[in-house]
Amino acid sequence: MSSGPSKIAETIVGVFVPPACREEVLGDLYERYRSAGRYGLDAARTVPLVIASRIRRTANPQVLPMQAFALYEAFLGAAWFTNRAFLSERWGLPRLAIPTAIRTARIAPGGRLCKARGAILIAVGARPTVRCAVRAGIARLAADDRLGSRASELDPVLRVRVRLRVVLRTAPVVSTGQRSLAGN
Amino acid sequence: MSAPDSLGQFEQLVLTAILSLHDDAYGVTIHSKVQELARPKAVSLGAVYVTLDRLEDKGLVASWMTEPKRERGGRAKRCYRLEALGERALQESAATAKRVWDMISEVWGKDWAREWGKRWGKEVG
Repeated sequence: MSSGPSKIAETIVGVFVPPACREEVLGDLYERYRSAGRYGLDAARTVPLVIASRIRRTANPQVLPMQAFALYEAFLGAAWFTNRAFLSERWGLPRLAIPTAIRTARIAPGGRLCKARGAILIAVGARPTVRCAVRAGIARLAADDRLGSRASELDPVLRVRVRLRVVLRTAPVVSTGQRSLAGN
Repeated sequence: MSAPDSLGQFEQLVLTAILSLHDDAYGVTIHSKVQELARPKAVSLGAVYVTLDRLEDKGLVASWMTEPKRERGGRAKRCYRLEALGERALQESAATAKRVWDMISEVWGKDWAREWGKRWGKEVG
């Protein structure tokens, strides 16, 4: 009889198990090990429920909807800013809820599960979220499109910076990339 | 002591399993005991974890980690024990189940109760 699962299999399963209960869940799966297939099946049936349970235990029911709403707003703003026609499509607005749900699910367990992995998850999840939130805010503020056709030629990040300058009524951003675009 | 919430059927099974396992109540043993109690229904290990988490949140059970064991790949067990509130909730559930049993056997007759008693006895044996 095989003694236990391979290190690779355990590592893969371990990535998905929340750190707060990884020790006992991996230990229990190890103890129940009969074959590689059975181990995979056991893990596939157990881990999603463990994750859901951790989310339920650790997520703050008041903060989570606010986070989800802020994320949706951010994606809405980004869509408004980059591809406005998308919003008027039939399933445009509901489709924006998909990345919101994914991002919210990443934030929810990452907050309190484990210091190290939680910090990484928050860092990974928060950076684009903040970026999107900034874009959404700028998109709302920048009611007048003073850049005209030139704005669509700029890369998204630079465009945000340019719009920010427009909003703040300061001199336009002059960077190497923009000079070359302006030259064209 | 505050009154315990009423228990769901699966929660009753998990608490009964913990009660019967004494100090050896952890994921694998609780799961196999619950599977035995829930026969012929299949029970997943994940469902047991979810229920254990919920019972712990309600204060019905307490858990602690053991030393790492070689037979578990060097990993520790999380063992569970009933808290006073859990024992009380289980007693109330058992009393309710007894009342249900008495009422049904009163309506359907003593013969029916004896028949089912025999059938359960066979299953257990």
